[in-house]
Amino acid sequence: MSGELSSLGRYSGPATLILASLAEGPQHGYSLTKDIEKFAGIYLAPGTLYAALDRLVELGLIEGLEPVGRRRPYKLTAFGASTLKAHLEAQRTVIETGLRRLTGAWATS
Amino acid sequence: MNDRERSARRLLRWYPRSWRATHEEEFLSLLEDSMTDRRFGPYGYLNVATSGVRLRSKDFRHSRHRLFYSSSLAIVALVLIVGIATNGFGLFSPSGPTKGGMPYEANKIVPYDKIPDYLSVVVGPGKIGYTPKAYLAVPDGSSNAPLLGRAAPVYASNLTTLLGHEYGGIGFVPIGESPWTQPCRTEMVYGETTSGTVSSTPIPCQSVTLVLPDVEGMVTPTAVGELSGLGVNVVIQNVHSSSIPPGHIVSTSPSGGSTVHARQAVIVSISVPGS
Repeated sequence: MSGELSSLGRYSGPATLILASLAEGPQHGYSLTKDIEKFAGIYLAPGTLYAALDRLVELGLIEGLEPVGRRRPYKLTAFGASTLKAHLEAQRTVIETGLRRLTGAWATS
Repeated sequence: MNDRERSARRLLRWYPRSWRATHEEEFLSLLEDSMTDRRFGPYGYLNVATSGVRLRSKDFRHSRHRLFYSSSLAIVALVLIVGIATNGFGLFSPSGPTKGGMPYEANKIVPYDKIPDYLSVVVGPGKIGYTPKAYLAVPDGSSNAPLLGRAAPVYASNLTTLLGHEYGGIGFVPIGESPWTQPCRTEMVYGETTSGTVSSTPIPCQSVTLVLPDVEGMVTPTAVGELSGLGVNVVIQNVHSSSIPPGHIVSTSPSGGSTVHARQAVIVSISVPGS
């Protein structure tokens, strides 16, 4: 297992959002949707959310806990935390490079 | 069970059974919560359905039956492709008879020696010569309006079907209906003379009997005009004859002098060149 989020293909976007949301503590599906909507402004519909959750569980990045009532909370694993960190840092390099280069010829003001 | 619960359960059916076994309750509760959301909407339904289908197809790719289903699918596809490509299903044929996918052409003049092994049918009392051009009444009763140029070559293989038609050679029976069950209506057969005038003849129902004239040795257009004008179904069969010159009638079946019913099929053998 490489721990590369990019191996998630179409789910890498939702996966990053879910991992980032779970970094604060375990959550069940609906509260994940709400939280992600709040911090990222992105709505993950239930189908997409569960497809990503399934993949993340399969990869060992998160795990399901005992259900509370009907709802099952999910929590980040240690492996998931380190993978998310590596992924976000790689992203940060891209973001910082892009922003820095934009201040050159493309500066707007 | 309230409405939301019901539609959540309905949505869940898109998912494979194995997935439902482990996720059912938590996913249902998520769906029910999500449905309270304005954002869920039609997109939400679609999203859940496509995710379910995607999982099913993933399950399928890993299933033991995959080989069986995918090879059956391949065979079905192959049959479809071959059928369509060769027009084996007759999908693209016009409603009239065809052979090997070749449609008849309106107003096309077919010389006798170019008529292949099919039966050529000419309808109408007009002197229509070698041109398979005629006005036909449509047996579905929808219209008696003349259909120009729809007289068509009728192939020997269609003979049994043909004999049940109200008029020989009118290969128009509504799809799905047996030509044998067509009710008899007194209908008009329209013909066009060479001078362009249109004549019409009422064709009596089967209950009317008539005596078939002897047309042997006559030139085909005259004979066909006379017979179809009487109200029998004229079916022309091409035969080779050493004694009768091309374009003339060799024989009829039943033969001249027989009593026939109106609309009964009469096979007229005409002489065509060649051996």
